Amino acid sequence: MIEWLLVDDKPDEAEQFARALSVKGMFVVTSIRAKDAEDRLGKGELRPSGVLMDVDLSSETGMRSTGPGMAQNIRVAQQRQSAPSFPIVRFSARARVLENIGHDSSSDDVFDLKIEKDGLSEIARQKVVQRQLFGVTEVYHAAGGEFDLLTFVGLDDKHWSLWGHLAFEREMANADRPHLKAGRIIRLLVHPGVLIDEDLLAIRLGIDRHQSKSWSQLLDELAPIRYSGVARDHFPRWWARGLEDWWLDLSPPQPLAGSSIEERHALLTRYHSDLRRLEMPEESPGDRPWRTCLLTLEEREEIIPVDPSKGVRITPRETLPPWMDPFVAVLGRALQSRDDPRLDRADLDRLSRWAKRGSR
Amino acid sequence: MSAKFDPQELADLAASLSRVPETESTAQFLLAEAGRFYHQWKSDRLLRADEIPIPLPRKKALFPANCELEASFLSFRFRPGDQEHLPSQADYQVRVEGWLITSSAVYELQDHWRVDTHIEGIALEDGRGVPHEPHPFFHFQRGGHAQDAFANGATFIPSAGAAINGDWRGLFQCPGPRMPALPMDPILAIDFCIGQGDGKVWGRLRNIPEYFDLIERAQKRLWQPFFKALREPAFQRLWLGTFVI
Repeated sequence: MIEWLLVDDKPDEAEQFARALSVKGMFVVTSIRAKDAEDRLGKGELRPSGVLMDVDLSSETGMRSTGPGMAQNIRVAQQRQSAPSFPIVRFSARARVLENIGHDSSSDDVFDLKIEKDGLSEIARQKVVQRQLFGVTEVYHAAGGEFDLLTFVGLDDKHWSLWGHLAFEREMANADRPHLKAGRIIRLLVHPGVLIDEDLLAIRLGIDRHQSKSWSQLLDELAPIRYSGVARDHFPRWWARGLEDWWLDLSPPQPLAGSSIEERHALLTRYHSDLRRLEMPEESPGDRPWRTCLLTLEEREEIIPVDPSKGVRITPRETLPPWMDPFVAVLGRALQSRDDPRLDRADLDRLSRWAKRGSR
Repeated sequence: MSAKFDPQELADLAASLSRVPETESTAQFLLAEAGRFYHQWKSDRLLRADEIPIPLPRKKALFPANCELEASFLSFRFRPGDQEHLPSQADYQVRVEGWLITSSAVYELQDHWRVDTHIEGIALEDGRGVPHEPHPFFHFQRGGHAQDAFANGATFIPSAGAAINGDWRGLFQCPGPRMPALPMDPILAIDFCIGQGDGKVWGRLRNIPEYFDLIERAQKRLWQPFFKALREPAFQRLWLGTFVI
């Protein structure tokens, strides 16, 4: 049985979330008062499979610590090996995160995942989160044993050199504790870059997967580039460079990134008849979609495809490792959020001029 | 979209290059020099870089056999012209360094090639006067001043001063041919060098959409009007020089 703790300062609310996320007989989430957690987790008295940590714990009487502060203390204990390695997931309402953390990246590394409480009353959302928590648990479990990167990610040496990334390999070489190893692998699985999820896979292929009867047939064909490492069932992923190689095997006139939706669709429908072309939303100009909009993802968890040549770059809170895809915003949404300091001013100016010319 | 070359594009190029391990050092160089590029451009409308590290050529069909490659560099001088598609200077020089180690000797090796800018009827910059051989406006040629310096010494073989006996075979190099080349700005030149050296690395870069977009924009800016201008006999003669009757 997988047992997670939910550290929260509002017991009634915590109880509801714990119930919503538990899966009978397989996965149980138990809420725990912040003070109790603080006293016992760092000392290794509790050995949960993982911890969901609220950010703002100030509603609990006598509680001075914050969620990120408590998480940091646990990480120190894990580093000293006075506490067992387990995942810590930030679990908070979006508004509380904005209020308490905002654009400060200093607690980013402490958490393995960041899950918002918003929308968790929906069953579909609960299932997504459960899947992520199962996956994270599995990664930690595997990272606690004998560790070999290639075995972990399910590739041989040749394919890792083709589809992996040297910078990630260097990061892993520095990870000398299970929680550090696991944290990096989770980042690999969660952030697009070396690996991409099904939404991004479909976007890069220029296909509306929900409207395409042949999508599953195409996925079968892509099986050789599917991630087959630890937690593969909970994090369905594909190797981004594997996709590019697969595309080149079809002898296209251009690399995948340089092909328009029409060109991508035309080539794929030679082999799979029932694939619907991806339609770019009005707010997202361009016809070579490759990334998704960070702004709409943050605000409403909406996935909007972005053609980077017509997208606005977003300066990350901290420098991204080279294996990770850069952040970008869809032009229409960026124009509405001009005051967001993360948006690249040069892109905004350049694309604003371009949009004005186009509308004339 | 901007129709003019902007040195900021080199920093944007570096952002993409930094994502591929083989081009990390190229990216670091370009980022470190970004301030200097900006200053050069603002003050002199000139971009100049010496010895940008570029990826090593792939170890395939190299001569001499069994040699090891060590480093590869690109240097350039780029000055725009009155017309965007006809830079007044677009000179690129590539040097590849390597070694051949045998049981009895160590050979330091270099390969040099360049793309030069030259206007027919104008004396060469090094004071050698107006050349007899036709020099297309932009031309590819093997060698260069750096090669002259490398080959100028008693330890260079084959050379008259080398202390070596017996019958040997060697390759020598003539100054020609000077093949007409397309004009390149530094963005296109870096892309060209990477592509010529290692197609696998180049393929990875071209699947980074920001990289692809930069190259596409540079080609549209420089080559589309260049190809269009080539319909004019006067421009053909300007580009190819006295080859054109």
